[in-house]
Amino acid sequence: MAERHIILSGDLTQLEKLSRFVDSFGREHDLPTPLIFELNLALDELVTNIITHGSRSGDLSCISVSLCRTGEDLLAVVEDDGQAFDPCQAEAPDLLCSLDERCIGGLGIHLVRNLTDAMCYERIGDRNRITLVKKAKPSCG
Amino acid sequence: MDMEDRKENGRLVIRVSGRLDSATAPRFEERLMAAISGGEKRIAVNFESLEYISSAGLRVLLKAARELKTAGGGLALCCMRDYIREVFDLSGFVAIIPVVATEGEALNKIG
Repeated sequence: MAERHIILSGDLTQLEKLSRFVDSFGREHDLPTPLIFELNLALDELVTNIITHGSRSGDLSCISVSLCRTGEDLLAVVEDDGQAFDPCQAEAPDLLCSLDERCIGGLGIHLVRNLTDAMCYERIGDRNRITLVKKAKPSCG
Repeated sequence: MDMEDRKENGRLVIRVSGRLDSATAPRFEERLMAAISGGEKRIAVNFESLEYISSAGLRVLLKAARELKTAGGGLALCCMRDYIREVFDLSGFVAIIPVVATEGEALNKIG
């Protein structure tokens, strides 16, 4: 199965490049716009986290993102050489509190969890690897 | 990401187009915070031409909604595409910031 791959530097302006990459993968596989958006958003939130954490510690040099489709599953793998960070351990935000009490922390990872069907994290040597699975089912909308 | 704004009977309407992600959200935040510190209390944001939003954009809206509430005013959002609206549903933001279909309704919401 053809895999598409992109390398991003640790800079937030790279999110637009990521978006073009996901769009072109989506068009290639005839994915509906909402599905492409959801995949893009999940990857954006992970990459934003990696850049924000990685640039704080100063050891992030690049992020690689690969996408492939196997049957009805879209598989995304995000790897970076920044400090160890496991998004699967992030606490779920409290979505029911009022405007004044509402915290923003954890919202990005909450979106990733809700927009994908599976997420797993591995630390391999000095690299982080996050694997996302998303069903490529036709959109209801 | 581009922004344009206009006044409508004392209320500020900001139209945002393009992408609102962690790279562009700081510019949106600057614009909103400058308007609020300049005395704007009632702001409607029109997302008709918004193609993309991430949690970085939500963060700015939450901050603005809080500031406007403290100032005795309000924030309302309108005209967003269905897949953008889904992000507001998933994040629980629809319960804390009014999200409506038309600009007229948004202006009514903020009074």
